[in-house]
Amino acid sequence: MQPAVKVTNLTKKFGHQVALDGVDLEIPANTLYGLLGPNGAGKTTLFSIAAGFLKPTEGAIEVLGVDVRRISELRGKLAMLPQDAAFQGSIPVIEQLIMFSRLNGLDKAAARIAAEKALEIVGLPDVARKAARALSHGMMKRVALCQAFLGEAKVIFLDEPTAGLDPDNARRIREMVKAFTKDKTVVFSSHNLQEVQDICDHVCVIDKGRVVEAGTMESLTQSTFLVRIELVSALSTEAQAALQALPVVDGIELTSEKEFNLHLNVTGAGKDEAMKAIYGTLAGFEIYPRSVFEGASLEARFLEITGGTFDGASST
Amino acid sequence: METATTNAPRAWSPQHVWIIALYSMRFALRSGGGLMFLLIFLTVGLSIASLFIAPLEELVKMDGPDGMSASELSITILESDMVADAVEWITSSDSAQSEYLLKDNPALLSAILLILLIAVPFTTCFGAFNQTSGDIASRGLRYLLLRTERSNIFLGRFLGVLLFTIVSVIGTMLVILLYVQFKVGAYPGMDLWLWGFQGLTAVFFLSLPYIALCAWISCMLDSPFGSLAICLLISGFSLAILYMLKLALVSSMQVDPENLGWLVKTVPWGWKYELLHGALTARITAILAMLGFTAAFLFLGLRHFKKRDL
Repeated sequence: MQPAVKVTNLTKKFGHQVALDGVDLEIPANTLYGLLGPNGAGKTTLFSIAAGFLKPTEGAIEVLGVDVRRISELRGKLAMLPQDAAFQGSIPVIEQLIMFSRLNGLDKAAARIAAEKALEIVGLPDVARKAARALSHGMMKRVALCQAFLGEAKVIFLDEPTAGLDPDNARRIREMVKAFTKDKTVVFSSHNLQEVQDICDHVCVIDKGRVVEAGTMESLTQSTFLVRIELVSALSTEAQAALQALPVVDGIELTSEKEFNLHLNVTGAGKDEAMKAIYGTLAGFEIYPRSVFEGASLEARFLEITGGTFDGASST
Repeated sequence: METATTNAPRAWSPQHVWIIALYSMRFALRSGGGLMFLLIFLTVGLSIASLFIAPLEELVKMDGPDGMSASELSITILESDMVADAVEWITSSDSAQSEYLLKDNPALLSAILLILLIAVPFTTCFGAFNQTSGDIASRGLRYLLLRTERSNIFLGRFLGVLLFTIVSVIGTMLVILLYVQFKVGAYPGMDLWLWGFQGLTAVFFLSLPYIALCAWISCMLDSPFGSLAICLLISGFSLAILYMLKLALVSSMQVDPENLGWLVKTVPWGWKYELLHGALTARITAILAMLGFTAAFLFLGLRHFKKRDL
């Protein structure tokens, strides 16, 4: 199947600063694709080139098989939530959405209906007549998101759609993204790794302008088999020693009195047997798990891959 | 969601240019920037008109010598040799042209138009400086870039400003003409309105290259204020540079100043009074020159806009 987005040897330089350095990437069609990277990794630059905002220094991006330098062939098929793009402050949002819809090919009446419907989807039908500058940051983000819902785009780039939002607004946006139909490819960048892990089925980690890891979420998070167990009661020294003695356990790492991580030396089919042995050992000491999380968290993998810290600030 | 009614993609779409032009006009009015320009244009136009009309109004209150009416007196003054000499000096033309401006056509309106044409390049900059620079800075253009070609945005914004300028010019000229006709009442209505229409076209054609120049400068800079400053500087400084060049050529190379008339024709400014020339061929040449400058500035602007990061 043809990838929805194909990035080939993409390089972008801003003066002497290299933002993207020979990026090669394929984003499968009809996936929710997470794009991760620390500050300055080049995520927004990649999005901006894909949408035709920036010109690449070298290389190319194809969206739905069309080189983005011929972006007019992608009108209506490609949508985007740009990170910092502003609506016109003193103009009612509905007017601006109508103009966007008219550029998508609708007549005036149909454009108005489409704009009103898009505002309803993001839960903001009441702000239609309000000037953009009268809206809160969260509302404005949802309005910006709703312009990406205008039309029948097949590929949607969302550049940090939940950045700077309160938990309720962030949840609303996550739900909207998850509600996309299966015939769309959504490329989603975020600094919230848990959010990416929850909603994306594929992920790519970019660092210093290069792709350092890409694949399915499962392959990325389970490449190291790790079990995080939270207990009802404290883990005794004896129980800890017994767990350590199990042949499937490589190491044990206490994160609190009632929580620990086990690093296992098994993957795939051996996982079930290993878990059975762990549960049995704990039961022998009358210790019972409150929760069990299998697999490395995306955050752990991210830090392992990038070898750095994650500060969740703006990107380039 | 919309139904799938998107048009077949086209690199250049007159429909998109028109949509962007209409909305940029509407948004300019709503945001206050357009109103400010309209106000500036009206203020400049009416101030220039009042320079000539106010003294005439004073004359109207007095009795003219030798039984002349106030209107006759004002026409006599404006058609005098002294005024004719001044017009020849301002327009760098001959007596035939001053006669065309002062005797063949309503002299009061000619005087207003001559001064108005000096102000047009600078006034136009105030309405045209922010065609794209503000939206490049705020990245607001990105919402349009996802939906249409860069050339459509550039030309749409240019057309929007052009339409707004036409509205402003018509509004200003209308006020001046109505005032001259009903308050001063010195000229037959038909003569006044026909000459007013020619003046209107002169102002329109002169503003064209300056709007295009602003489109070019505006897409090069991310700062609206910077764009305004550069547009005004180019409009004003190009004249100063040409004047200094002329002085240098005259003093160092002993060139006859009479042979350097072409120098000022290298900028739109040098053609402005040709737009009011009595000879049709001169008027058409001036219009073609204005269109040529406009096309050149638009070409340079569009080429830059299509290449730059937005």
